[in-house]
Amino acid sequence: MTRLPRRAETTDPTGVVRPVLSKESEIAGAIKALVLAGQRDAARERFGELVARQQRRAVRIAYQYLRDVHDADEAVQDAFVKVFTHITSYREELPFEVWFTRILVNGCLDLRKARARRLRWALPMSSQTDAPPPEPVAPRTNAEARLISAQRTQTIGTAIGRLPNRQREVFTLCHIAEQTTAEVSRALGLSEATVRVHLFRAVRKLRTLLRDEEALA
Amino acid sequence: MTRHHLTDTEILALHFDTQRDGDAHDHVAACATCQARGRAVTELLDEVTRATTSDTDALFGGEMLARQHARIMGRVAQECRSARIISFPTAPPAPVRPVRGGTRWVAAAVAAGVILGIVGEHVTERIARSGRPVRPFAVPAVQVVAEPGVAVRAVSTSSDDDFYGQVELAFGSAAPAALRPLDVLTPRVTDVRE
Repeated sequence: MTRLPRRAETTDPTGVVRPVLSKESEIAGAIKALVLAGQRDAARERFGELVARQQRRAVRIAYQYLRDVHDADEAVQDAFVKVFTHITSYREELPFEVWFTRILVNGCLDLRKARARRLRWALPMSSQTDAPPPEPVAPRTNAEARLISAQRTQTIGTAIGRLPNRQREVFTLCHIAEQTTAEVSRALGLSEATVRVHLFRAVRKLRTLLRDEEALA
Repeated sequence: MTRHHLTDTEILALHFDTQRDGDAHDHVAACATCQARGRAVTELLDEVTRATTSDTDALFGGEMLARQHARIMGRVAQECRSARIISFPTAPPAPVRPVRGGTRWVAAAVAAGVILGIVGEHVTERIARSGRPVRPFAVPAVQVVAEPGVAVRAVSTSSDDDFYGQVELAFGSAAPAALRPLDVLTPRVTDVRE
């Protein structure tokens, strides 16, 4: 039944238990070393590899936060550029994903605040962001099945959107970005117990919202 | 099975692998009801995952991700270029003005003229101080022809006003014929009188 495999851990010579670092963390460490050695071109080449590995995940997280293609694109770009410019402050003993997610989430929150400020003065009119998301690629073939699938996707998206901010944040990181509660607690600066509380509340609320939708249907 | 059914929180904790309690694991392994509840959570969250990821993946296709990758690398390259350190200037740079050839010659000529003028004035002053007589400006001599019956007086031409005053007096006292030489010089006076 368990969904998230616990990250592998290792004990260093001083007796401290640390998570086994991912390939991304290794690449990030190498980039840092290259930048410190003044080999920025070589560092840039390795960075391209790192971007390719993390891009899809980053886009999913950003889109869940922002629900807007252009804003998500901008947030992901900004996060990667920030990673490169601040790579010398990356601590190699920690997972790169946690560090990167923190940068990305902060960027998304900033963009969301900026958007709220913009919308405060905007006239109420239908825009592209209000439009339902395009139909996702579904394995079903007939038009009716596709329509039902699209409606269900929209319902789920709406239900996630109705979660309180903190719950949605934690749910996105734990479930969609597939981070452990320990990693999310580090990324958001919350205790692991608090992360668990938000996560479980989010799942319960989602379950209720989707059940209500089904009952109405 | 040594305990009651698991709570909702315990089911969720098992799903997210945050349940440390070994009893809960043992219970789920033996309880069909709790297994079903756990499966329901898993199915719900799997559906959420499918919906959200397919939604995002449809919006961010391969081409868009490639474009995004290229943009990121372009911005990173830009960052690398802008990292060049430029030394801060110690003194403000002199303003550069475009200078045309003609303007330069005119300026040189004016400067030369001023210098020549100053030098010339100095030379003149020195000569004056050394006691040599300065030749007065030549005044053209006016020949006065005396006509019979006209008294000719010596006229001091210290200034133009005196001169014209004398002319007025002479015109009032003498015959017009005597003033003809003056009429040549001042024909308008004659016009007014005649």
